Amino acid sequence: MASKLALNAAVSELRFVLCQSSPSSAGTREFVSKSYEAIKKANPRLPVLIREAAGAEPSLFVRTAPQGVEKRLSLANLNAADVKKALESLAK
Amino acid sequence: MALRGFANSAVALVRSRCTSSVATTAPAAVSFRVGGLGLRASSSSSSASEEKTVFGGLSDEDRIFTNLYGKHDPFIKGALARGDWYKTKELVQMGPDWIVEEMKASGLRGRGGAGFPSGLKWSFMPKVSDGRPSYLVVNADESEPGTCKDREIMRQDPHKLIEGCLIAGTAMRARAGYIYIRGEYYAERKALEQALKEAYDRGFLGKNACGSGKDFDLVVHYGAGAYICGEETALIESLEGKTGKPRLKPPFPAGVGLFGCPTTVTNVETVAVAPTILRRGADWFASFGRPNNRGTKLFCISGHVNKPCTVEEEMSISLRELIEKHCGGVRGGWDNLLAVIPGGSSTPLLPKSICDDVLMDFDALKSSGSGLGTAAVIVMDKSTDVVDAIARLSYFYKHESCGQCTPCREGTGWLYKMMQRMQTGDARVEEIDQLWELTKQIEGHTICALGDAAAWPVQGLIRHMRPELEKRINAYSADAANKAKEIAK
Amino acid sequence: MSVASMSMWCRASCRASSLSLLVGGSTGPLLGGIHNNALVRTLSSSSASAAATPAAAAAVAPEEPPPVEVFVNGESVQVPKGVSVMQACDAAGVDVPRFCYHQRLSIAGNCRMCLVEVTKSPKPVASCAMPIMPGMQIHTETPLVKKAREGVMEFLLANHPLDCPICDQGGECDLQDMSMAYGSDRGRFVEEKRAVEDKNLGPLVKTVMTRCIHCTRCVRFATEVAGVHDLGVTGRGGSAEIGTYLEKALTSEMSGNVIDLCPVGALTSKPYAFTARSWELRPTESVDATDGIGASIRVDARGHEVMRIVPRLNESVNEEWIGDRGRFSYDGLRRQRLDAPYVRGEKGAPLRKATWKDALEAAAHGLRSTPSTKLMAVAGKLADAESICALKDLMAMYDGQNLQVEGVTPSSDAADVRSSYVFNSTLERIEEADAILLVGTDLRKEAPLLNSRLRRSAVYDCVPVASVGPDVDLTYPKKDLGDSAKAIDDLLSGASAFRAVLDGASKPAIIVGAHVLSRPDAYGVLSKCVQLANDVGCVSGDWNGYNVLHECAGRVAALDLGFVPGPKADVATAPGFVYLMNADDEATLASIPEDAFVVYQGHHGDAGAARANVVLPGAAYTEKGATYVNTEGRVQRTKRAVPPPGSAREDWEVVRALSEVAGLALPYDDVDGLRVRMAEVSPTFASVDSVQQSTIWLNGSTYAASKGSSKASTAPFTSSISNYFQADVIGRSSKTMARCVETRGEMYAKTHDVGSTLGELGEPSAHPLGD
Repeated sequence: MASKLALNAAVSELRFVLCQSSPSSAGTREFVSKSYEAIKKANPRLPVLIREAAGAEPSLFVRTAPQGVEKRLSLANLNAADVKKALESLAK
Repeated sequence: MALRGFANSAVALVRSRCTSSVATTAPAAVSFRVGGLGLRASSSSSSASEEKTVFGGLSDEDRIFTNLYGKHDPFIKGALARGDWYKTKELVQMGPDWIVEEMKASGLRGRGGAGFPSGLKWSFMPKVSDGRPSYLVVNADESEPGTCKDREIMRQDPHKLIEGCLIAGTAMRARAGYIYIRGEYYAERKALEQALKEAYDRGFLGKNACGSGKDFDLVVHYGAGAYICGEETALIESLEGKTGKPRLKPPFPAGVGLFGCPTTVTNVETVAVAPTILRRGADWFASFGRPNNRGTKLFCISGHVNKPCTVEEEMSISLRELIEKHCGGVRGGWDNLLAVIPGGSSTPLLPKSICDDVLMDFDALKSSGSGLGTAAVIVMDKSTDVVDAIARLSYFYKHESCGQCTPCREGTGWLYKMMQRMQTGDARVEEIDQLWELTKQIEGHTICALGDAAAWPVQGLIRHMRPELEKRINAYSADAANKAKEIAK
Repeated sequence: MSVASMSMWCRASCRASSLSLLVGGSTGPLLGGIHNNALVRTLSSSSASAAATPAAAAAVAPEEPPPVEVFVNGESVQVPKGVSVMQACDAAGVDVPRFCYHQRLSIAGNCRMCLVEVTKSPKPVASCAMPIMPGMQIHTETPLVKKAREGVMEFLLANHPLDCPICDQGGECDLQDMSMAYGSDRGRFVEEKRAVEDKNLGPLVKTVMTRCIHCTRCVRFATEVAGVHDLGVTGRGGSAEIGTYLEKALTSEMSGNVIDLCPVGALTSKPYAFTARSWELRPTESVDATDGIGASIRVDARGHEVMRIVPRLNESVNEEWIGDRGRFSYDGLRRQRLDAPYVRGEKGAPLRKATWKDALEAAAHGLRSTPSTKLMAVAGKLADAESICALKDLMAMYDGQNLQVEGVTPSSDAADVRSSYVFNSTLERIEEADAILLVGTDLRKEAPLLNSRLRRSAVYDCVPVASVGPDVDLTYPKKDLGDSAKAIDDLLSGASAFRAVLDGASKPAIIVGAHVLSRPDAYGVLSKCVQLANDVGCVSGDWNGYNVLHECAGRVAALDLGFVPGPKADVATAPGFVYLMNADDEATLASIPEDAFVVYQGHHGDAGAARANVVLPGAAYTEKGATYVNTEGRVQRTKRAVPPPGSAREDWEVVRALSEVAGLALPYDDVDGLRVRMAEVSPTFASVDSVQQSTIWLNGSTYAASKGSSKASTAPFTSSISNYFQADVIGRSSKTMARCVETRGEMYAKTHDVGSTLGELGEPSAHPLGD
């Protein structure tokens, strides 16, 4: 549900990094493909960057104001539900 | 003209090639006889008794072009009276394969200069179309210096050409034909266009040509004064509207030609004799001339003869008979002959010693170091400055070179400049060898045959007239030395 | 062969990715050069240009016919069917000299230098034109061949002037090299040489036509690749001349490539004339940053000065060409340079030279003393990825979320999904498209190299092209659908006939120009384009035909790094502190209020520096080893060829120094550390020279947030570049480019009868800091 994906107001950028084809990124792919719209709706002016590169380890980066500190969480081999949980844990 | 004057010829000029006796020329002639080939041919032939050994003396009944001198109506009335357009429908309906077989059997070789067997050439066209139409292109860009046979056909007997186009087009499964006529031939073009209109008006061309069921259109297109447009691929380029620069071969026109479609480019004479061959039979045509050199040919003799003319004669006729019978002989008598260029300016000249007994056909002339080319015989007597003559030919090739490929573009100019110096003798003797080498560097290395054509006359000059060149060079340097001495005094 | 007859053949043949050669012995045409790209890829070792993942992997491999065996000098070699004898020799590693043959042009066969001997042929054959037959025996070392080569060489040199000492081609001249290898040792030509008048082809190409050997490479290039029929051969035989016949400047943006093509010194570079010899130059392999294609170049420098820029072979990007701007604007690298920091005391005072310390302190003070909501940073068109990354991190440390990319209407959605802002088809694969729609772009000015690829598709493969945008002559037939947004609506609804063409295509492509990104209604239009792309099936399987064409080098990197406004940024608020990183556009500067404190970091004194309060001198693209991302998303790195002038520094170093002076130092001390950080932000930066396919497409939900809020606009669709030659600071500082505008502005007006959509090609811009 959209409200569930409303993130902490201090979050200034969300970044999903994944590999185009590796199985460990599969969950991240699924989550991003399905939930991007919902995340954007819940957080209209938040940049949600999705970046793919061959061999990249799937990760989630959250940048928070005011110092722009970034936190990273690996999403390797997680399924979509777990990715959602990871997002919530970092960014709520 | 020479058509009627049989009396002299019968007496004077019949030569037997089987006998070893040689008539009236100097003994030295024996060693230069082309006859070697002729002897071999006649002795190795299995039916030696059936093979002719004497050529020439073509009778009017055997002539194909019966209005060559324009004594009768050139157009449709006269053409019909001469037998053109007779049973053309049946000939077309015999089908392409039959026509090609007949042409092969007749032994006709291309009359445009290269002498490629016509039946074989026409058979290269695709039997089944891959979606592209096929085209016939007639090369009426008669620009080879000395040649004037096609113009006679086109202005005196155009319907032979037109009917020939229909027949050849049928043989090639062509949808249409283009006649590319030289821009300078204004009267010939007018005659051709009138004949074309007549043919269309009577239903001989166009849809259901002659009622045969085949559609065939014919178009006359004229050029703008370039010799190079007589080369088949340059002609195609010119027809397409581009500058007349030859294409690379392969691909050959039968694969990719006019507008990218299969095309065959043929000479006027080759096409014009086709209907008559089919009507009178391939065997009849093959009964003239030596093996592999069958049929009759239009010879254009010009230069230092008493009566220059165009005449239709049997292939393999001896040069001497040709000149003496039909042209009233060389000016000042046969012994006043210096050299003959037998096939248009692209062929090397032959000195008198060879001319004494050479036969006028493809193979004989080739083995004498020249070629039949277009059978444009240019006769030069002893009053000729032969170096000047060949220099003028070099100028022609320099002027007409299209400029695409390096050897021809640079080489023809260089040859001409050297020939100019050779004329006055302003050169060194070693430069004669250099000149030879340059011609060898051009020959065979060019895109089209113009390079070869530019090289051959100079080669002929050096091969046969080297003493003349050396004489001039020595005279010039002696003269220069004398002048220097005078100045020094 | 004529273009017309070839196009007819090409309709029946396979597409560019396979060898489209029809064989059939003596009746098969050899289509040679035009489709040789495929052959080059086959014969040469493959470059690392394909996507890394199997899922996204590459062009559908066509069914290759089995290779054919031929013998070159006795050695057997396997080659694809239908290649020429010369290509077989190249495959065997045997060198065959040539002048007129070029693998990207049609076969001319007129220099006759490539003659080789083939058994069963009495005459030597032109190897560039003769197709191979199975079992053919090719000999290149026989006396016949040697004589032929010497003969041709002799003929070429016969009329060639003795210009070597004064000819710019000396040292890199094919004629010199080949006469050394294959010519004879003396000349025998004692006659008068011919001379030819020089032609005026404009301010870029210098001609000495006496040296011309009539290989016609320039004619074929202009006609086939550049698409302008400017050059031709007039006259016949020895009087043949190559030129434009009527005095006319070459009108193509790729005209400079004839300089590389000409094997002799007939066509040389006018700006480079008489300035250097090739052996004095130090070559550096680098990447062109003057446009969005990122062509591979070689920067030739002598001492501290860039003497010239020439293209490098890169099949995937620029093949062997570069545009005139990339080639000739290097003289602008020496003019109007910022070689020292400047500080403007109070408002209205002139800029004064300062030390780095003072300048950085002034900038840091401005940064610290401005509330975070009024901080703004702009990544300009020539900004490199390292400095953008450092700048973003710097801004983040002060919570400055108002980050904008020059030329893009700011929106937090702009950089989310990579496939929404890159040229997804890749430059190489765009030739597979079988229907192309252009939206708001003038390809000739924005990306001439891409335009020549599309020309190949449009002319030789008859791919239909339509354009919503300025009605310009792209050198190939295209359907003009008007320049209003209504055209796009018509395509969406099906009212436009071209919609059916797109529907019927199996690999349709849409190319959206950068102009669309800069419009106030950018996101509305982009959503429509994405919608159209979905409707016609642009994205299916491994083909993504939705492409955004960027006309500058700095934009994709900025978007990759997420240089977009954050949630707290309000772009409507007037900024109090603006950091311009290589940003000089009028539009950018117009949006800065008068009382804002502007820090300009760049390399040329142009409009940006004129407005700035603090000027921090950076390095131009030839003076630093920096990363640029081209419009396809290909990460490429330049190499430093010459040092930056005066006290200018590399851009990322300036930002790093500023961060330290301002109090919070950035966490990386060297460029490797910075690059690790870049890869962390976007893993695409980890692999250089390859394209990472963006497989996540998200069907148009990309701009869902912004499209509603984007302002409607009735402005016509035009191009983001109005003046090809002076589109960036380097071009505006270049004398050569100014001359081009003078000469060819007129030509543009004539050939593009378009009125105002081209914009004023105008005067060379006045330099704010004076000359």
